Amino acid sequence: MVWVWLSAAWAADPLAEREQRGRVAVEPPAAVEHPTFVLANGTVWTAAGQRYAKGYVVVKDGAISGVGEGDAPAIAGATVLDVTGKFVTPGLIDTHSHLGVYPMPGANAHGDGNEATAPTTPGVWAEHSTFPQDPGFELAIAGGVTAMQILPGSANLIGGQGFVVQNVPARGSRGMAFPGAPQTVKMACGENPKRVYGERGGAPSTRMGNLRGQREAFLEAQSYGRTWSDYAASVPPEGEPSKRKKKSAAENTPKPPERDLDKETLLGILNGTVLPQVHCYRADDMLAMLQVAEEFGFQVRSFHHATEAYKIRDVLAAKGVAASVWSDWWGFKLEAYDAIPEGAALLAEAGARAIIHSDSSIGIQRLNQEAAKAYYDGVRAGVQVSEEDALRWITLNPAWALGIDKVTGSIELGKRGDIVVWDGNPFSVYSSAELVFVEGVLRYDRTRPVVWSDFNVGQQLGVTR
Amino acid sequence: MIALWLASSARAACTFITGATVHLDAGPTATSVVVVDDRIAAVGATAAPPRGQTCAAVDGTGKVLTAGFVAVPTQMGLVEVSLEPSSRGDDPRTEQDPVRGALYAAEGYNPLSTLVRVTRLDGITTALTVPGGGFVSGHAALVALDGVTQADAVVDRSVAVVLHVPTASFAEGLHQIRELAADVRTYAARPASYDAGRPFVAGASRLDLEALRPAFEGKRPILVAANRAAEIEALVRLQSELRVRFVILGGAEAWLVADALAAAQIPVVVDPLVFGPHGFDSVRARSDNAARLHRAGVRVILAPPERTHNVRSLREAAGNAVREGLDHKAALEAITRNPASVFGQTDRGHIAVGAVADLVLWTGDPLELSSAAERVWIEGNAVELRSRQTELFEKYRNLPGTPAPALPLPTP
Repeated sequence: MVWVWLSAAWAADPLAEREQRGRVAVEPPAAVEHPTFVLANGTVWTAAGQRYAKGYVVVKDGAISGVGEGDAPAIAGATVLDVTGKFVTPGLIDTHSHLGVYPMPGANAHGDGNEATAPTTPGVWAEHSTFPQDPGFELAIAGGVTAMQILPGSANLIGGQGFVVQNVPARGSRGMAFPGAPQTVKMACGENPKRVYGERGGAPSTRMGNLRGQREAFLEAQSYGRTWSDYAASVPPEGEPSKRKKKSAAENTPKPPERDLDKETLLGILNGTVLPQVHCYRADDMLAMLQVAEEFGFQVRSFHHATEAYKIRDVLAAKGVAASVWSDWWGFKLEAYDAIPEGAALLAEAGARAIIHSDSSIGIQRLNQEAAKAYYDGVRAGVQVSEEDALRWITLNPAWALGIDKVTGSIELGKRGDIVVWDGNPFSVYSSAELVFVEGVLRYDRTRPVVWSDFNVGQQLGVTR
Repeated sequence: MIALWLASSARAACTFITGATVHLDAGPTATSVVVVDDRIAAVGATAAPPRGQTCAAVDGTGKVLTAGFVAVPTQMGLVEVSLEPSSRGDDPRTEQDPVRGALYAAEGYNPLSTLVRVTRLDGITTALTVPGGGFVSGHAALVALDGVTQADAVVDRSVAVVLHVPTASFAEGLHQIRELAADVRTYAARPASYDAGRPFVAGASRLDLEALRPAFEGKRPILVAANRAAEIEALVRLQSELRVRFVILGGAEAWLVADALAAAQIPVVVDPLVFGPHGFDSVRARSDNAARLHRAGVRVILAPPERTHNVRSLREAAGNAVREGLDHKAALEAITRNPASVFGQTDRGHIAVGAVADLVLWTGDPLELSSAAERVWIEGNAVELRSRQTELFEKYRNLPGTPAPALPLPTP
């Protein structure tokens, strides 16, 4: 649906149409079978409001075609997997990953996450740094992660476009692109940009310098946008003859403006087609960024890290801005000093969209545990929060932040078969993902490990213990 | 100030805990525990307060009592905000003086660091705090997470010496250790040789050589980080050559040389959350490393996921080790008894008569995410379970608001 809507937008927008030419896949899509199967007799948590102590899920042609309580219906030709005693949830989604842009093993050659050559580089795409052979992807699928947003680092005020992927093996990064996901952009406030550029004696070196950098970028984008809207207005609609009949056809055809990759990403933000993902810790920094958003008329989709989001949760709820937070990270830098473990629960209680993100190749393997910690910390402190809320922190809410909540993030009819079968309650430290399906295709089975990354090939030869 | 101190660590001369499932050396048992002053005075179904003494009674029915957890390794009390050098007691940028044999982390320990109270909320009662940097980083201290002065908190200022071997040239690092060992011994035997200008390891002063004696005489463990199986194997050989006692930190590929480690009685401090090929020295890392080492007879210590602010996640790390095959009892011992005994504190880390009363009463299985520490005793003191984070939570419990309330007019 998102896809269709965007296609319509491109047709009317000559710049968007040009930009999409850069996103055409070269790699032919892998031919995979979409088996029809039924998960029967499991505890089903849909993240859409229902929790069945004994329920079933039917997946056909990659999509969820049945979900309900009690005994599974008989489906002709379906493989029935008895998941008695196991838990079925939507696939987990991480809004903040650097898998692929800082791949394993950590190496000089693998630092592709920060284009720290200028403070505003909106024209770079994380997609172009994403190394599909990062062994981190297969560790993430073992943790039940079926989709994620891969982001540039936070050295820059505007670090480039994010890349929303489904967690599938591919030879090129485009082969991982989540179908129909809108574009996103990484922005940053606070300590990182001013430290990176300030230490080089450049700008920004202060928080006020950060804000000037952001605002100047959007001012330029506005004027760039005017050149394209003037151009679009001057192009006669198809089929209509030009009014200036006296001149030749060539002279009558208006010349399109020069393209500018940086500005067209920013223009997408202003037009609402590119979703801003803003790295921001302190409450005052987030409020300052929301002021910029109001000034230029765009909507921040999600703050990231947002360790002080709990202090402004009323504002975030009112403005419909999501907060991607850690369960309990704090203090590694001064702007993270005030994080509290009840943060996510307080956001949920206030009606704000809370998300637990990882920002870590290790944390992404246990997002369920991170959500569990944040949930139990909230409950202990008396915050009104439910297990359903906590499940949404790692499923439906991140799907919303990435603009893919219409097609994934919960177990609902018609949605993609992005599903995890856990060997126990996913909020227990002892539980593991057993089966992980991405669009109805089994991508992980704990008893039958499959090597994805070419780096891992041959590394265990001779290791026989 | 005094009132504050009293409130934060009210010393009960005697505590009587009944009804809990108590994790003893032999395993979990329903029994009672009596604490008198800082020690465990009695354990058993018929244990009772000493005659004539009134004890604070604690009903542990439905709850679990364990020894307080011992976190290894940490930089507890040395770092308030990681990226702010001015908040650190171990400026990591100073790379002068690579041999810091007479450096004691205990002297940089800040018992009032906000991290201390955050950490003990998760049942951690003592921590090994290690210095960083240099080739010889200095002496690691065991600290109790209570008290307002170093005198209160430091249990032992020298429980291990920390060596930092550059992974870029592990063989060169071992060569340096060998040279240093020779120098320490030469100096011990003939101090005058130092003044005679014998070429000692660059930067090793007389003080350094003297302070490193216990470690190179095998009386204190030497902590050294290594992940690659081949490097660990080289350390096993070096230990027997130098007659020292290594403790391996990291040990991502240690499972490959588990038998040699067990035979050499070298303990390994494992991070159970980190596996996968994070570096070229850990390409064969496995998620069941701890479980395999334990089965081979290696004394395993489980490490928290990092060394400062989230040391509190130690029990979560242990829970994950269990998920990956480590026996539950072994996992508990790997965060209590093993670290205590490896660092010379045999009267800590377990519940037994005469042991130091570092105790935690849990709402349930201490390794499970849904459980919480309900009561924590450090050296017999019931410590306050509040942190700066608790107060921030309370301050922002109700919104909308401002960071501080408007004041009413003063009474005229």
